[in-house]
Amino acid sequence: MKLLSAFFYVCLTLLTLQPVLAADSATLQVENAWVREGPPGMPMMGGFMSVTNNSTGDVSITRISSPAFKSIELHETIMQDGMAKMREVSELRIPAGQTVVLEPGGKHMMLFNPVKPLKAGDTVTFQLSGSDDQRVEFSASVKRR
Amino acid sequence: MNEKRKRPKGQLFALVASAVIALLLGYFLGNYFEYGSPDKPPKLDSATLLPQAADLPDFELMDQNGQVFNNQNLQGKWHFLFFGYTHCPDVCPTTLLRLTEVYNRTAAEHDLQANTDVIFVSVDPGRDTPQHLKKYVEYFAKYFIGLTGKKEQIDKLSKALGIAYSIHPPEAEDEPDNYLVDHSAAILLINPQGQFQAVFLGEQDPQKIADDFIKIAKFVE
Ligand SMILES: [Cu+2]
Repeated sequence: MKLLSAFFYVCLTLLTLQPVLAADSATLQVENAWVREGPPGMPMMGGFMSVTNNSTGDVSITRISSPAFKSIELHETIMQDGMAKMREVSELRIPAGQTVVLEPGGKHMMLFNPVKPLKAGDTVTFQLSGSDDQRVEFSASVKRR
Repeated sequence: MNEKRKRPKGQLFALVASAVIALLLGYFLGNYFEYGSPDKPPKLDSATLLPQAADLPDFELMDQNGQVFNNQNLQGKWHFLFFGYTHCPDVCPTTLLRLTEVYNRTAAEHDLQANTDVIFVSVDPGRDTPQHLKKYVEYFAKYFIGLTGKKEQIDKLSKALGIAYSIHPPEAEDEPDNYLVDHSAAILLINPQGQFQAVFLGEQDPQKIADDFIKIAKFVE
């Protein structure tokens, strides 16, 4: 019994340590992440941030997920002949040592179907997967702007 | 200036150029007298003023309360008009939030501000019902009006204002309500006679839009 609880304790410790370890070894760094508060009941929201690649090789963002949304896609708004067009970006590449900025009117996270209504001041957590198998956890605050 | 250019060509160019200048001059002089004002059109940073305000075709749409909204409802107030769709998470909220900023920055001109509304016209009537639009526009400000309606009526208005849009087919068959819409990003200004007066294209700074709006309103009134 004692052995079992000791084993359980070790597992628990490892589990709590894991994200810390991941964060330490991460070469992608997320800053200024925020989610735009939307009108109530809207099934889509926009998320923005800047991502810096601190490694010596290019890394692509292959996936972003969050417990707060049903699904997330990376999109880009492009202006063409005065028309605003939104397209999915299948893989967002961040060149070595560079920063890619996701901002209104440009690249953004398209956040589908919030699990519960989000208001300015709320915080949302995200997990980002890189093409080099790293995972980065980050949080974003909901803002009206 | 270009030595290779032969003389006859240069003369032809001069002839065409002076013809174009004469035409432009006549055009502007014509407008000058039509306005009946000795004022020169204001210098604008972010807007293009129509040489002559253009009448809109007769249209009939529905507002967020399910009430009929037509040309009559444009009388007596300035209206900023923007075409979009509520399932748009980027350009539409960005533009509408910017228009609340523009409105706030006209505060010094009390009468003008009191006589200004913002209209969001949906180009996606399939998803944008009046009830849906109500929640959407009222989130931004109380002076926002949301319009939707029959496609022919929306097209009548959008075409007259040079607004283009295109609805994409759904991305997945099992999600018929998940599709994108490309649409013009222009902000249009309608004068209190319900005529197309000016267009703002690509300006990010709400202060510049507000400054130009005030200049236009003072020039026209
Ligand atoms: Cu998008």
